[in-house]
Amino acid sequence: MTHNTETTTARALTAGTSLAAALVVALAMTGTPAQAAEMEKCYGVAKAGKNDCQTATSSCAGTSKTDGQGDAFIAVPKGTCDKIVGGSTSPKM
Amino acid sequence: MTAFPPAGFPLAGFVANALGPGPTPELIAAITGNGLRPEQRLSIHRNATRIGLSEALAAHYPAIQRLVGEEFFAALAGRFIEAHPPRTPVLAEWGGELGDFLADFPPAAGLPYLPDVARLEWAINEVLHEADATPLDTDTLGGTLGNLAPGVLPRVRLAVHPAHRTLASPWPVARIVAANRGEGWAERWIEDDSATISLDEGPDHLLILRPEMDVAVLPVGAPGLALIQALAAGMPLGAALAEASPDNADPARLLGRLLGSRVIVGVSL
Amino acid sequence: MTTAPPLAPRAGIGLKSEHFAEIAARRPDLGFFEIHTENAMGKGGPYHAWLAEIRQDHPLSLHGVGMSLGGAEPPDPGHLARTRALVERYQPALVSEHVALCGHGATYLNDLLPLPYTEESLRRLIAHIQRMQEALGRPILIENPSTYLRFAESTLDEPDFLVAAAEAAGCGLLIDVNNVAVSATNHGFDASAWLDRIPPHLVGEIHLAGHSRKVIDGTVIAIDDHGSPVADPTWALFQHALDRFGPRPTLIEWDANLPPLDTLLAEAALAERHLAALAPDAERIAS
Repeated sequence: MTHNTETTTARALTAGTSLAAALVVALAMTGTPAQAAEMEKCYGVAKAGKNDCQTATSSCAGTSKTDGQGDAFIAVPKGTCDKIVGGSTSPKM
Repeated sequence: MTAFPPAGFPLAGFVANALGPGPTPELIAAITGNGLRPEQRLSIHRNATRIGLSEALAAHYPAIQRLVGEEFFAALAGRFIEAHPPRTPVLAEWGGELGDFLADFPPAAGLPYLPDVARLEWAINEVLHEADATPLDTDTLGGTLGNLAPGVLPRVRLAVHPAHRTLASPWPVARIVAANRGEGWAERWIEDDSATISLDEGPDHLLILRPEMDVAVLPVGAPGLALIQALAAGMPLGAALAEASPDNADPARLLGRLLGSRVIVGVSL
Repeated sequence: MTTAPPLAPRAGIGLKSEHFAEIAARRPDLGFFEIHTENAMGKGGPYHAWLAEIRQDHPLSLHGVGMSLGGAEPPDPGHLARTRALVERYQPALVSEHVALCGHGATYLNDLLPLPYTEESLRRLIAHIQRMQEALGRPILIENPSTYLRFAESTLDEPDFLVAAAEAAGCGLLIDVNNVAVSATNHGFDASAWLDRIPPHLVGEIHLAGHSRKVIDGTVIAIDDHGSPVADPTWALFQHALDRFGPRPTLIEWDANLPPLDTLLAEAALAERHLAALAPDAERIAS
């Protein structure tokens, strides 16, 4: 795209006519099954109203657990990350 | 006013002991053993601090912990605590640098999506505690805008919900988080344990939003993301749309999705 | 400005997010709920929504864990302001903090580190309590710590240190009976004798909790982990405290291995039986 197109578009939207027209179309679209389906495609909703999710809390208690000092990086990732596969490890953007 | 702590009391070392590699000779000398070695008594505080912070980090990043496993996560947390000790007494606000830390953490280099997964989990944590606001529903917002003269419309400013964050990632991080965040998360996207996720599914352009009390992660596309970012930066609607979609590909669709997303909380001129 | 307790001398429990929905639905008959002040410092969200709802039916106590009153620096102005905002918003019956330090310089710790009990340390603590009370516009209570170590340079013993701080700063004391038991185990002192050195009129609240025990090189160390029922010897010590102080608002703290709400309510009911069994003694209560 050229700089000129960009400027023209910005002008058009700034002038308001095309924006007003887009708004009319947008409002006609909202509430349609197609858009409702699109909005439903959310990835996560914390369950139940006012769910506290997982959150770290301050406490005045000590702990009887023992810090394992599990360092040294003999540790390798071995959780569910092996469920994630990919043809390439380089990002696609 | 005399100095505190008194000369010879190694306060800084006392605090460092709780986080770092161990007590200094000065600190050991400041403590009475009373049946134990001072190091053994100090280790109780060191233990409480490190475990408490490690558990706090796990509470913020359950998907990260599940992805790498508890052993790796514990080791990661230990390194992170030493590099980023809390600067706040509010634990909910500590640990936001984990994404950047992971990006520069060689043992995790084989999992290049991990930093963005952490950034998404931090955004979820942040919106959970952000200020509340009442989102304008589609009809109210559409009606307000529709009543404005066309010439005014481009100059209108839409206030974006404070409890929102945006994240762009080359990886399908939303699905990775949804599949790994565990119970109470992702009713629609919860995956069975055998499911695999392909990294080729990316990229993601995500709006993380808490319109009321529930947190949602919404894929909004690159133009949608740019539009919200432009509005949040204070741009008027016309300029924000131009910024988000310079080729004016489908402003109606962009606007329609915005109106339906519950991310707008106010309209002003 | 000492503490004629504004709260009825009944039992309360720590308010945990895991129990929010059940408490809001059941509205249990309790004297009060207590929260850690720092956990309510978010701007909004579910925590505040639940807290506001539960606060409508119950008195509240704000119990801070991060003011670092024993620290080298004065209380952080930002943290004071956030605490004040919570006090104004929720109008708590009690506001309390720990006699501890929580960091140094820019570093905060999620732990309560003990102070050396010296005159210098005492002067600093008094100044910091006064700063906090000025910022909040009301008196606070300060809590005796559970400690695992002592400093060679300490010259005051703990009851003298706490009483001197409270009297000079014009604050009250929150006596954590479990902390007395924990520290008594860890340092080998008599817990009842410790309580006997606290003037009743200073005591505005009592805490009770469970602790665990570890054996390190043959030495028993009590760990204040708030992860189990109040131990029998602690109940006996609680009775000793009530006999001396009179009835006081009493909190059941349980933070780790959180049990069902009913378990906490049963512990609170047990505490209330101890409180109710005290003969009304107007003279003692007024003292």
